[in-house]
Amino acid sequence: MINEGIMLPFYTLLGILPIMAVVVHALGKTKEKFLLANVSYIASYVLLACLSVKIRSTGISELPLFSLRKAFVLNPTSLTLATLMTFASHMLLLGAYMNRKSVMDKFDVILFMLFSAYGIIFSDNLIVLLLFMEIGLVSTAFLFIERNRESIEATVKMTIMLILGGIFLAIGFSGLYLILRSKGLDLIALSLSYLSGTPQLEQGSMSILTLLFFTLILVGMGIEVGLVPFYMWLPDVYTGPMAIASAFFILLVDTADLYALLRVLPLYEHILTGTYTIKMLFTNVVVLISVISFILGELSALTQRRLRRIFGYSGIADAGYTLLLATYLAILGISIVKPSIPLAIATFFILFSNIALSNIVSLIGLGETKGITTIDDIRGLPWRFPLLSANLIISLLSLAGVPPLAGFMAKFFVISAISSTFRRLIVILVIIFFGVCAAYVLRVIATLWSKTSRVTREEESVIQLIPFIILNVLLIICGIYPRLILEFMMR
Amino acid sequence: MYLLLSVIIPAIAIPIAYVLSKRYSERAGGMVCTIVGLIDLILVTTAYLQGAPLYIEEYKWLPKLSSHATEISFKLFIDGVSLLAAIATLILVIAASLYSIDYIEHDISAYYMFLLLLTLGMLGVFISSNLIAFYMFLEFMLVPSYFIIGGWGLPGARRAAFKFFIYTHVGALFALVGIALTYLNLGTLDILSMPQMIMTSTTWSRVWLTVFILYVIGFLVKAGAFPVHSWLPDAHSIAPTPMSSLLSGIIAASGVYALFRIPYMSILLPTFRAGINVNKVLVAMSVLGLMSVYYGGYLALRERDVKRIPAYSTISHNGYMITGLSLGLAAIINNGIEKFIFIGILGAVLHILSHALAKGLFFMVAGTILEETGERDITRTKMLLRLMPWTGAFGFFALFGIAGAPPFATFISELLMIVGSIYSGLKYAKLFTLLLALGTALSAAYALRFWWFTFWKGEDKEKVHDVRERAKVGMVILAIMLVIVGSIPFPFLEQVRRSLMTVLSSLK
Repeated sequence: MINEGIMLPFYTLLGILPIMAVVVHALGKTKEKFLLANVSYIASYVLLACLSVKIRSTGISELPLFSLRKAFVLNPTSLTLATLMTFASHMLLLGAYMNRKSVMDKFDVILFMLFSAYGIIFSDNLIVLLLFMEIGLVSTAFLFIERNRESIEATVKMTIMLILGGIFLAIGFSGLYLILRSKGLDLIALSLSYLSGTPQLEQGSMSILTLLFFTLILVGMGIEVGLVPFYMWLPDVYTGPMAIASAFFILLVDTADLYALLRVLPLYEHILTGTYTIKMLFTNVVVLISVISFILGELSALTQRRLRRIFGYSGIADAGYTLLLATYLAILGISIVKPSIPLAIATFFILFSNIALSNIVSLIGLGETKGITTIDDIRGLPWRFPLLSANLIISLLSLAGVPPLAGFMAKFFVISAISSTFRRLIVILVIIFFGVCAAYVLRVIATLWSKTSRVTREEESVIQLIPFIILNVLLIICGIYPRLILEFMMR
Repeated sequence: MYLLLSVIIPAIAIPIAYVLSKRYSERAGGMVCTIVGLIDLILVTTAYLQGAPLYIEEYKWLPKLSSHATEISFKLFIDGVSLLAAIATLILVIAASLYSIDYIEHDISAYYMFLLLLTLGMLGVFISSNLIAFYMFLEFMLVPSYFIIGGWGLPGARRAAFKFFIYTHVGALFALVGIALTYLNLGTLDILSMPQMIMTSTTWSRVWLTVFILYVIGFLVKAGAFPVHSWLPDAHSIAPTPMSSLLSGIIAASGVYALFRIPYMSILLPTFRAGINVNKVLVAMSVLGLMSVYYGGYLALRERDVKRIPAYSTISHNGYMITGLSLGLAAIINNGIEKFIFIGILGAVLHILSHALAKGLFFMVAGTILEETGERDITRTKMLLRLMPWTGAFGFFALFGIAGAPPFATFISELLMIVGSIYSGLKYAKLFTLLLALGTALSAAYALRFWWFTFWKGEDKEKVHDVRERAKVGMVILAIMLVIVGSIPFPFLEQVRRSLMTVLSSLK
């Protein structure tokens, strides 16, 4: 239902970020830019808290945008995701400033990325979703671009691929709309909450067309999140730009896109109702893509030597697992707009995997200033930079799914979800490749731990590491007591 | 709060140990670990005495993860079996901490930090009633173990640590699927309420074997049993000596404890009560256990490396416990639960404690020989009894303990397992009993061979330093406990018996 009381804080939240971004852009001094960016973040916290309080009393709220009746939808899951994402990206921002990264001149772009992430997370309409995805693309491209060949290459590759993904999504969404309009529906036919609640089509010739358009949507989403076979751009994005820029991309754009995948893909279960064979075919193809994605991602990560590239491939594997979770949501046939246990645990997985990944990439970035880029360079790091290494190890262990860190709970949720839904072979494959993930993470830790003869302790600032320490504390707390987050998501 | 405190205290002590050993004295970290071990020992014993035979603490933890399931609470408990395992853990922690003061020489503050983390994980395994908390502690042990083996072990330690981590992590993932399936089918993760849920479940008969196998794979890897043992000899022999003691006595034994607690008592027993014949499964497990007994024993008998012998012996003794548990459970099932014939199970559970004490001491003896003589090959050590009288004395306790000689604790536990196997009621019960008894002879053979080569044979020419003072205190504690449990086993067995009575009575 449309709720008037929520409109003001929500549109203020969406509106304040681009306005502040423009003001930040206009300011000259870095310190002023930084202060204003922090003000924007604080304002976001206040507005998100206000929305959370209101949602608790009103329940799920749908919000219009111009003639679109259902442009956005707010529920506890998306609000919790947005809040934690904001907090984590704020920590990255502080980390970037404290470590004097050149990215600090691009606070305006980061605010735009946050704006696009909010748009993707809260969108209830496929057109709105696509619009914000494109805003995310443009702002990421601005953040990435630097005067070096590698970053330009990565940016160009990403831009071309994501534009292509956008085109596939646009054709898929339009096709879906045309089919649904022939059934007498208006633009509401593109509303996620509407589509996930009401089965639309019956068996017949239309179902083949719908399948075709859904395939285009799958291709589009696959490109956006870096699934096989459209993944080639993703490892470059982890290695080409500055590390902190990649970390922002992982935390804001990638998390929001993965969340979009969780919400868009399960629609096929509702729209293809009645066409059992086609639905089965589609499900099997999706599961196959997800399995190939995580196998390829994890195995490729195992063979890499460049540190950031290892985790680029890990990102592909995570996209594969997320696709499997999206299929799980589809098979359960639950509404992807209402808060539910399956949606909450899937969201928990993408959020904490990406927080760990972004923290790892940022910390590797700090090491890069000391000449550390490949796995061979990190030998004896705990003796050179003990605090940096301790932080890196905690985030790595979370990524590997070692208790009591949040990554463990995330992986436990994945296993408990798929055990009830998929064939044993899929479950066994997931287990094996979680093990492979642990293997390459451990390879990094083992190399870190191998002392070379000429290692001496170097100076490192505790203050500069505080934002990353806070993110690790978050990984520990949410690993020991995940109820803290899950209860908010399911309330 | 006693049990929660016992888990929290090692965590709180980490910064204290780190700062004290960094700023003031290198020994301080070891003393902090020893004190933590003592405090935890008091806490778990007090908790048990407060609620014997079963003391429970429950805290809200996770919301329910599926619509038909219940909320998941962080439930800690202690019964007679857990008490025995916790006592074994904490006594070994105390002994290992004291031993470490003399023998750990670099990055001392970091070492004690990891040792405390390991204490937290090991204790948590034995007092968690919730499957996911249990799994968390089981996996959490890997992290400090990995760093201790890799950081303070002998040459090749990092490779061994890596192998140890990957093997046991992947193995544990199978157990994790078992946990997920348990939750999805029973709607609970509480180990204590699983038996009742299984007996009333309508879907359990379809999945029990899959779930059982998943748990067994996970826990056999952890226990280092044949055929998933290949991580164990490397990790145990290359780890620093105090860690080898803990690895063998507690970490590998935690796999056996887990087998007893989950697949055996919480799955097989209620599944049998639900009308399914589980004898074939028990026969298979007994055979698997016996294969470990003989494979490990054979390797120990032909090995010459001073630290690999106790490592192979661990494979053998864990197999012994698995067989003892399987035949003991068969005795309960085939003689009627109401008759309470659990002599074999009593022996297997007591063996967790007695093996931990004997093997902990064995590794310390082997480590001291290696450390003080620099010699790995037992055939090249010379008449060490005269050169190292204290080590020789401890060697006597450890090796005769491993051999299962009276009055050591292992004698009682092995005797109970052999006697218990007679009642198993399985098709080849007598053969199993015979093989189990011959397994003891194999242990005696390699233990005496070790004793002969290291302490007895040859001539003493070179001067060798004996075990150092604080390490000696740690070894004395283990030796005394080995004799006390062997001479007065009744109080220990009685606690296990009361706990088993509680479980079996609930299944009548």
